Amino acid sequence: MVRLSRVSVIHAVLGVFAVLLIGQAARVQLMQGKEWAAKAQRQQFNRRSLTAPRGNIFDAAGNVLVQSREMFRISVAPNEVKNPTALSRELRNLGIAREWIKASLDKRKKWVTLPEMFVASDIAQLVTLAGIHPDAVISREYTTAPGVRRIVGSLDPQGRPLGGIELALDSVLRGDSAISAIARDVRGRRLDSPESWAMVPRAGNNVTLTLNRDLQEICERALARAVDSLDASGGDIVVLNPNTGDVLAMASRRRGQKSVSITAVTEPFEPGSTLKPFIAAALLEKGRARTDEVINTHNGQLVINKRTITDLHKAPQMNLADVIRFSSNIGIVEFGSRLTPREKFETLRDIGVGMATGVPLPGESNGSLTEPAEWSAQSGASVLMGYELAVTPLQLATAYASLANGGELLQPHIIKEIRSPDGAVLYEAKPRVLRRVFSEKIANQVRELLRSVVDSGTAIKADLAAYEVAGKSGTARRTEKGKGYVAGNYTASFVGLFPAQKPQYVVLVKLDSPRRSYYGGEIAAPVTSVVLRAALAARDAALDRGELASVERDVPLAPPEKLPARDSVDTVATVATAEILPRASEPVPGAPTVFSLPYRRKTETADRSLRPVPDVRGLPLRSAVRALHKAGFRVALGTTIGVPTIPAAGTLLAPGSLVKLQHTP
Amino acid sequence: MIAGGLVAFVIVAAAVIARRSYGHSEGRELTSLQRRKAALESERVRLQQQIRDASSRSVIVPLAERRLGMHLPTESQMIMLRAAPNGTP
Repeated sequence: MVRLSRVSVIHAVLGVFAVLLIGQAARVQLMQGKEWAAKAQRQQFNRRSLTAPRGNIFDAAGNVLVQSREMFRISVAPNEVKNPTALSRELRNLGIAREWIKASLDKRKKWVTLPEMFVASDIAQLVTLAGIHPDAVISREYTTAPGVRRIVGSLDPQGRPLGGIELALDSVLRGDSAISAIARDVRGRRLDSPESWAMVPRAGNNVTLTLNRDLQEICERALARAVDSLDASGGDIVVLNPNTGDVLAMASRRRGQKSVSITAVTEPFEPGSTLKPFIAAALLEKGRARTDEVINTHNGQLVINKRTITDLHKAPQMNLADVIRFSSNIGIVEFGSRLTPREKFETLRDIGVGMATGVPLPGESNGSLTEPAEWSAQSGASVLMGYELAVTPLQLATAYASLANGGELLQPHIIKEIRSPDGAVLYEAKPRVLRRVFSEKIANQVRELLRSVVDSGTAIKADLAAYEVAGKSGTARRTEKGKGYVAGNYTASFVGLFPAQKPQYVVLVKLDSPRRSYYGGEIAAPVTSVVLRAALAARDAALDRGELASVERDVPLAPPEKLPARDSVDTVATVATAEILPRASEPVPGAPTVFSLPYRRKTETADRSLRPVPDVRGLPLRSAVRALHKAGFRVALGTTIGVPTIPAAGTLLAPGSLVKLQHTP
Repeated sequence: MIAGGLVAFVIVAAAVIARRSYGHSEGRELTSLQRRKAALESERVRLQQQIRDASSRSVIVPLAERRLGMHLPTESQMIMLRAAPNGTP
């Protein structure tokens, strides 16, 4: 019997152990290799999604309106916190509320995510502490202009769009997110490993709007002042380029509520007299009336179907031009009776009443226009006066654009172009003619009628000294829920074409329930004038100044005599208008500076009819009034301290114009 | 010979470990710089936005009116220069 030595036994045991070891290694590597590799992958690599940077939004001039940037959301694992004092101090320094700090240190909680987002530099110290887990998120940086914010919309804390362009173009702006797998060491720190991988997220596309930021801010300021000074419940201003359909500005304001919707496209209203020019155009187009054709206007009162229709400007008869100029309800009803109900309906439908414009903004209203079959006995007259139908401010501005551009109804658009992150143009807006609604001749003819409205009709307060403005005012009764039309509650509106000869702007101003005065020509028209003046003075307000120079008035017209019927509200309206006019005076003119112009200035002869407002700074009140009267101006007293006159000294005005003289009581 | 082999093994292993440690250290530095770049980029966006807001009309115009007594010119106080027929300004 072979007797094994002790050494041999040990060798044998080691040999068996080695064989078992090799066998186990072979089993792990060859048979279970894939399972173990997968387990290691799960333990050592963190897989996370990479959010794509959302596309930027620009205005038409390339100014950034909305931009994305990386920020951090902080989560705290209370059980991992090793230095509660330092953590508490750092969170306090960041301005975190006490209850959140308390929750972050509560060991019973597993995970606390702080509600705020932080810039990396602000949390540099905090992230060095144990238990802090920063998570990069893409945040949106919005311009502070409230009107722009309403149009571009916003995102909720989870990055979901809430409204405006953000919602309408979410799929365009969002981009494609990606995932990455990053190796972590035993402490959970990032470990750069060849086995780490990451897909690259595709950034969202950049969107350029047709909005002009300067013009938008001008409109917002003018609207805010008008709404506040007139104690109106709200208002809207829309500025449109009638030749391209570009929406240049869209301001909305509602008092007492933080409205986030773009009411210029979501809230329809009864337009009232601003619809009359389209009835006139239809009559002219169909050859049913001429502009010089006279009709009986019944001395300003007419009963039709037991309903009394009245005119502010009472006259026994008027021609069609004067019906528009003085906004005669009776005149338009009498002329409009030459159209069949179907023709009235088709005229209004053709200019877009009752149909959404298709501008890519959420919640756009269709407005309303009922079929003639559903009309009551009074509807035929009502629609002629702009009642029993509703339009949004954008719809009405679009309709007026057709009168401005020679009769073509363009689709308004707010998206100018969309570019991929590498700059390739994916979409470019081009003017899109929906239909021709009037012939060019008729559109030009109606535009002439609208010139007379500003020139010597109901909206002379929209007039500018150096340029002609065309337009139409409207004053429509408003309804209240369960009460119908309520006395004293009106929508005052004005739609202007500027300049009248070759319009570059359609400006719609609408004021809801103004309390101090309510005629569109008295309160909405001056707001248009304020917007136009500020736009002319702005560096970039989407105006072709070469074109403007070619239509500058040779001799600016003096404001015509006001209608007697309006005199009763003139004082109130003047005060209201003064509130929205610039308040400061012009510096005292020094020695004149002579410029050599490359052409003969056409307005040289104008100075004979216009005269500058004298400088009355420092004069006693009585002497100042005398000086202004001597210069041929009417004077109204105001109480704003430190500003001598409105308009300022040196402003050229026609004799008889009202100058507001400020004095210290 | 065995000793020589062991020494060579130790040297090669040390070199590999040193190389990997250096790689990891550089990787961490790179990651840190990338984070810093992203943070600065984010700060740049915030500052640009603040500059844009501060230079917007809604901020400048009221300040110019209140502090400097400036006002917007009326249209009759502005002169639009027309281009000469040959196209020169």
